[in-house]
Amino acid sequence: MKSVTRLLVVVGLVGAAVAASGCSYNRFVSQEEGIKAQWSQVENQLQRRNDLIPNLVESTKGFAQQERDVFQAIADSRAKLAGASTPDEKMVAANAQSSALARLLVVVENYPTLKSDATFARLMDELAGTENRIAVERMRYNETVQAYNTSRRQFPSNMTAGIFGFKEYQLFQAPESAKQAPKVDFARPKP
Amino acid sequence: MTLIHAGQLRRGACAITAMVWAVSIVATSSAEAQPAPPALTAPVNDFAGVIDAGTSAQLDDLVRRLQAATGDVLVVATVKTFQPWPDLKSYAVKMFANGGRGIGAKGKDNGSLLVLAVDDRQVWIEVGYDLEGFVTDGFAGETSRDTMVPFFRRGEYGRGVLAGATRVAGRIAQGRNVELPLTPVRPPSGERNSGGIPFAFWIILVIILLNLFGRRRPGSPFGRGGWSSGVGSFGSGSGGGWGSGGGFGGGFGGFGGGRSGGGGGGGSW
Repeated sequence: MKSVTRLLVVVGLVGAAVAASGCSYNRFVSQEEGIKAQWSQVENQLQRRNDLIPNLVESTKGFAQQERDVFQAIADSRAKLAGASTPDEKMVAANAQSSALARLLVVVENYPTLKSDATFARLMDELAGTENRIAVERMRYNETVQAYNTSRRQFPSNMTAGIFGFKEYQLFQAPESAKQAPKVDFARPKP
Repeated sequence: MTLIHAGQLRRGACAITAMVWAVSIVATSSAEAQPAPPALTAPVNDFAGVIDAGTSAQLDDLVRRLQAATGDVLVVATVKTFQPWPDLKSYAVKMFANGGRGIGAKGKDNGSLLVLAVDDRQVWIEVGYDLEGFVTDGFAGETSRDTMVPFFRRGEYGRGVLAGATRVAGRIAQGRNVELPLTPVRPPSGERNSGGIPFAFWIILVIILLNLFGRRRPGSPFGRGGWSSGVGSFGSGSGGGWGSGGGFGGGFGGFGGGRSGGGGGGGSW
């Protein structure tokens, strides 16, 4: 009699475990992997932008020497991003870099010769394209995180999340400057 | 009582979670403020109605020849405006994804989208992941600024798009090491003297063809058998229906779920 009860308990526990893993544990694991994969996509694009900066600074320096503090801010942001290790730190550093670059774009408006330079124009294309890539990958990252965080808080999967310690992931908020991106006019200067 | 309740819950847990899950997914996708861009169905999606039939046929032919030669997919779209989307870039990303039937093959991501927002006076070339190596941001920006915008300034949207698409197709073919014969598009300046008559002749030819074959749809034997796919597209263009696809010489298998990541370039005028 006792052994039968014990057997039932074991079967019950196994059944519960299968149910739990079937409908949320495994999903949490795969969602978490999805978040990590998507985050590395974000990092790729951040790195891409970081790599563009030396060229960009080099080509603008000759034209815009008096805009020292802008270049300083960009150089700082580059070092900060390189030094950041956790995703949270990287988000902060990336946002600082976005606003530094946004300032540079505003400054460039004052230099028509620079703007009409073909090499510089291509560099600005690369920068604009990379900013757009960052925005896209950030959006996809946020979508994955949002789906994960939602199921983390919903009943009954929140119990699985609590038992196995699935932590909450941070959304990558767009920097304030990106919400009001400076208008870059790619049109040629009027003759 | 509580035990029974808990048991029921456990049994129903998966179903409930699945339901909540489905509802939340629907909720998040419908929570997007912007309406989805119109669906892309053909090589040329002239939603703004700014590309004349002749140019449209040339574009259609170009896109199909590129796809036949390299397997890569270039799609052209024109809209009046990207609003209420914040900018053409994000609009282009969404349009490229095309509600799950993204441009290019799934897993290959070998698509490209040239989208023109006429009233916003902006153009953008959105490039799938796989083509980013050939159609770099700089190349896309240069094509927009130097190749297309001069046409757009004069209101020659169709020819501008054709010139841009030709340049992009040429770059893709070059990158893939494939021979793709291209007809160069004359620059807009001075075209009246040198190219006026052949262009007018081409338009007249198109009108004649339209009259001949336009009424025989659907399933015109002339549209499919006797003529190239380029001519077949006239029928569809005159009907104005992109959804039917009846006029195209065979279906267009360019929407296989390819993805883009925001790479590309554009210009304004």
